[in-house]
Amino acid sequence: MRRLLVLAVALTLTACSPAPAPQKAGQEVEQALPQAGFPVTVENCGRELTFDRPPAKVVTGYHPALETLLALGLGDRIAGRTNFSESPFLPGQQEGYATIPEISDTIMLPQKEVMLSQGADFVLDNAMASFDAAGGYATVQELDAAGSPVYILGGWCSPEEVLEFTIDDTYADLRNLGAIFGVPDRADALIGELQGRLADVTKRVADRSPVKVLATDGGRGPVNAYGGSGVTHQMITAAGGTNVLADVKGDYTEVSAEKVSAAQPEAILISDYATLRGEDMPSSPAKAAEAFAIARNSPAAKEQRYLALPVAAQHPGYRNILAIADIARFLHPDAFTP
Amino acid sequence: MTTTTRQSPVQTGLVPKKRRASGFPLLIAALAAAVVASTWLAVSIGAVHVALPQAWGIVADRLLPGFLTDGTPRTWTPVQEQIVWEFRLPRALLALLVGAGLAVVGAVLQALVRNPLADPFLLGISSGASFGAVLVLVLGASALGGLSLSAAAFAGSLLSLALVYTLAQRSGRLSPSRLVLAGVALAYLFQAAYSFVLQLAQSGRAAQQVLFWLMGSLGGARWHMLPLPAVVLAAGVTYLLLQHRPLNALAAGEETAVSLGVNVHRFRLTLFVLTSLLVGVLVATSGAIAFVGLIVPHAARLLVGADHRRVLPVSALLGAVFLQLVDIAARTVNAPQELALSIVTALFGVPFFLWLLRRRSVDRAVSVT
Repeated sequence: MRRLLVLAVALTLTACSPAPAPQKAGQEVEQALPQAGFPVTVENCGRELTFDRPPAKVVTGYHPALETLLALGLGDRIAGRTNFSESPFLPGQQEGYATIPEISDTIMLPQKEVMLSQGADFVLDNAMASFDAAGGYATVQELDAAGSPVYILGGWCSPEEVLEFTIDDTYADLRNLGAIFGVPDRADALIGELQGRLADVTKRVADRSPVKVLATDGGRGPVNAYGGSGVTHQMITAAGGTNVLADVKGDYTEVSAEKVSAAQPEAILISDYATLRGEDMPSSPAKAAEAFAIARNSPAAKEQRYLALPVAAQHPGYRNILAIADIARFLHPDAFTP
Repeated sequence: MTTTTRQSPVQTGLVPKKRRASGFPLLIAALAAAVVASTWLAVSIGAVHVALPQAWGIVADRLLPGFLTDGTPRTWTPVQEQIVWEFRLPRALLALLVGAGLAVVGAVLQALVRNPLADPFLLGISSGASFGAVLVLVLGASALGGLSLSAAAFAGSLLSLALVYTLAQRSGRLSPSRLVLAGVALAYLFQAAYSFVLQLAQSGRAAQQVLFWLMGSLGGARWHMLPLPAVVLAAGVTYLLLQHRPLNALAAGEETAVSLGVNVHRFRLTLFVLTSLLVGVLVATSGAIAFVGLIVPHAARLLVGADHRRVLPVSALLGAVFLQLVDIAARTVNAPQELALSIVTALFGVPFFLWLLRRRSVDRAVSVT
């Protein structure tokens, strides 16, 4: 009954201009007391989000959103999550994942009515695909009006903003989430740990000559590959590599086979994932074979040197910083031997 | 629809007009020269700069193995050789084959269903092929028993062919209007089917790859992909050229065809199967490239009239040159990123066609007879 009520309210409000979040019964008792530091206002994608109290009924979209909240020790605030079966979990996170109700068996949020009926007080995702009205999803505005403000990690709110992403955006997200949930200390601790890891990588690869890297998702021509804008390019740079497609404007894009052939990478990163409920997409070895066939005369192909990089790490979320260490270890193994 | 349904054999081009007889060999020669020139250009330029002497040294060295043994140094790197010989040349040749094939199929279909709007994708064949391709792109090859992308696309086109035929025939007879309606209806069905698969997948990456494929690309061209379309196209065009008289008769109308002794039903069936196979083979190699098969035959008719003995070779050459130029633009305009071919075919083709349309009589432009 309450679900229906929330839904009805949501649908009514979508027709009007943005309205204040409706109060939800059940949370008032628990959180009627004003909490120190609230209300909190953060900016995301040019919108201001104000929270009178820490969210207690969160829905997460693509998995890095959930990972980030679990890393902040906020698993108990999550009421619903999407499915994640495309690659292994981060260490220690599978248990937390398993206890949270699954509201979508894909990586996308559920359809509009199901989504609005969740009665979430916060929605965390890292792209706009799950908020596209044409796809049958609830839009950011509709969720806002229903009292479910949406925060997009990494500011991936438009194709242009995807290209503008920097690693620092990950820290900004953590800081914002720390404020929203009233746990700034945990956010600072995690930021400190991540910065420490990154500094360690930077120190280890500092004196080594950068390795020429091609980041690809396979393809026989044009090749699906990562250009010189966005998160993957920065991860390569931070890990002591140079992106051979640095002059290509774009994040995930198609590049002609001859460009890849001429790029002469010394190492290749393969986006690793399975989609559609675990059915295998072209596997990473198969995609690597495609890349090696096209860049046949490159050092990378001669040494068959590639790393299967979970594609979740190529999205906003703190996993991208963990992945930088993995890439650095792959590019500069000597730098990590004691 | 055609502007007039009953015309004398002279008007419909059954009897070649003397006026154009002298110009025709010249036109064919000019178009053949354009084919060679555009292919030369296609091999010479691309996302990566390879100097002209090197590009042509590579081709000459491969085609004539003894050519460079007299002390001429091989000044190119293995990478340049791979780019020119493994990427550019097969791609340029595939562009010629696909362009010629789509244009010829378009010309034949316009005569077969007597509809100036007919194109290779009208009869649902390409939607069937796209369905097969999307299944592989989204679900992976294992979902279809290990079929490759092009095999799946071809299987899809055969499935669509069988369905359209079953729906359109009545006691073995194909009527043009039923053929068009069954084809269009099935095209919607297959589009719905692959959209459904795409939405199930909900993967932005798969969607991006599918979109690129649906809009056509020659980016994956390799040598081993050339023989099948080449053989099928050569056989198809030869057969169609031999059948130019019944084709002309069919375009003029069923009554004319029957009065000239054509077994109309049998001939329609042959044309339907032949064009479907051709489209299946072409779409399987290059994805669904729009516009070529619709517009090139009309351009050919504007140049040489409606006689299929002329329309077919001119369409083939015109289509080959057109797609070659389109593909050059697709891979150089935004290099090293590539544009989908259907974008460029329309961007370049529509203004050209509108210009043609204004120059000549509109009636002849939209009439297939």
